[in-house]
Amino acid sequence: MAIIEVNNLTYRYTKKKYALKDVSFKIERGEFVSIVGHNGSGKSTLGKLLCGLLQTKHGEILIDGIKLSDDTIDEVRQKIGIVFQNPDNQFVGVTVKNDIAFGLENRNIDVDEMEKRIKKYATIVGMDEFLDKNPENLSGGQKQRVAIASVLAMETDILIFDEATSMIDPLGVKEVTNAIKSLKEEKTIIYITHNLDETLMGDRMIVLKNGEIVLDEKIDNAIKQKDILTNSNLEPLEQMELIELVNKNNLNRKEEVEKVLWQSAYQK
Amino acid sequence: MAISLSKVSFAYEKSRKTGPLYVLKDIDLTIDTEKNDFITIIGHTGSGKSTLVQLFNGLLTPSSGEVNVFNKIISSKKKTKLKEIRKRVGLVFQFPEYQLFEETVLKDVMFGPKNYGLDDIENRAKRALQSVGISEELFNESPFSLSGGQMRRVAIAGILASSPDVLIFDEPTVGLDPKGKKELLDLLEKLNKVDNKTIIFITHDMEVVAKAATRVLVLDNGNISFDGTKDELFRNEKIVSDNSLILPSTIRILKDIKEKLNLDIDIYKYNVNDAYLELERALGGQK
Repeated sequence: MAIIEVNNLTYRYTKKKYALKDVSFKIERGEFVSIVGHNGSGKSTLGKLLCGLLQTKHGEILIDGIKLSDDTIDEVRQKIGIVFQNPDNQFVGVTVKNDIAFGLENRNIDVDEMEKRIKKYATIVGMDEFLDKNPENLSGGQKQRVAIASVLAMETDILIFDEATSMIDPLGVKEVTNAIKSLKEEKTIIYITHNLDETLMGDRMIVLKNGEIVLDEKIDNAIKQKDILTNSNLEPLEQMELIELVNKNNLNRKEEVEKVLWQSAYQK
Repeated sequence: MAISLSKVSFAYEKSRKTGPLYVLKDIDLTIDTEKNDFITIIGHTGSGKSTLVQLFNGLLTPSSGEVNVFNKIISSKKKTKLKEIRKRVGLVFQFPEYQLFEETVLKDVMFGPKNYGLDDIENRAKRALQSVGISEELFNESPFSLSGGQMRRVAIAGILASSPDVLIFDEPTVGLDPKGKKELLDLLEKLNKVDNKTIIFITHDMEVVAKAATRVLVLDNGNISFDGTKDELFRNEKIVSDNSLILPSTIRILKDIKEKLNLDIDIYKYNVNDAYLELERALGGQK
């Protein structure tokens, strides 16, 4: 059984314009799926619908077999967590520890278990030395890693990252993507972005354009679809453009060059 | 004409316990606006980038030292009329769409020139809007009904309408999708090359530096640790590693190929086409 099943999902903020139009897909347990698309393509709307922050009567969402509705939302929220774009908007505690504890306290987790989880997840994101620090004094990358630890502490099976790296500097991006990569084995991950180089962390890519799915493929194939990606306002990877040029011009040692270019794409 | 800083330091609120907390220390810098440079300012979060550019148009006054903007002096000792300075040095913040406030797009763009007492403001505003690619049917719409990318361009038109000589942008591409980012960069390159505006652009994005910069400043902990061309910057391995800079993608790719295939390649290429031509040369052409 797929852990996420979306059937004919449609959503409108205003009468005139569809944010999502008849979107259907399934995600298996343990998959890492990137959702990409232009500004306003519907990718964040989809993320919010999946975790019940938005609701619609048009179409259905099944999380681990449970149909998302008013009655099931609490149950579903125990299975799915979301990390947003701006870490500054996600802080509530005066220390890092407090902050990670917040969601746990709301769920009446007992103190020993809470301590254990805080330590465990702060360590996973590499922030265990900062537990007593004020979140305000952290860098963007550090803040975002604390936000991830807070969501991890809820021990949900599914994690959604909604442009989680778009507001932090390049070093911070590395810290955060390394933390996310380390979760691959245990979690089902939905990674929303418009940076194609980050999609290579995952197994599969879904491209949204004006609220509709225009591509849903394994990452190796998806990343080569230059026309679809360009038409969706995305920027094909330089490596793929070079592979195209190398082959088109039948360059010497093209097989070797192509191999290195693929490795180079996956390195990041 | 120039913007120049001499021995400029800046501290935000002074802490009684620790003394002043300096964000910028002893900065000497000259930006010659006759050169029409496209200057990118890079550096980690908290290195002082945004503080530095706010000194360029008098939004901040230095704690010590002197800022000279087109022969008007800004210092803690002297009161200067800032209106003239701000007309000539326009600053666009990170999310400029939040700066919009008027009922219509056209009125919003007219606000700046009106405030500076310029003439012919409606035509100025219309020209500015056209130059950023906002078409006439949107002029009387509410700015808040536009898309994010359009709002950003209207906000830029609002600065352009006063015909500044220097345009400063504080991370203007954050949050834009790749196409929106490319369009904005193309627009700024046009303002730089065709309209001879000096562009000062704060960014974390090395692809922006690779594409557009003619001069790069690196800020590190309140000091300028590098000032030169992008080629001088990226070829300087010590500066790159000391500042943990990430190389632009074409350089990273060519570096990989050079090392793995043991080729004699000049890796410092800044776009896919140049990178390909260098690769073709190094491999001795086509089969």
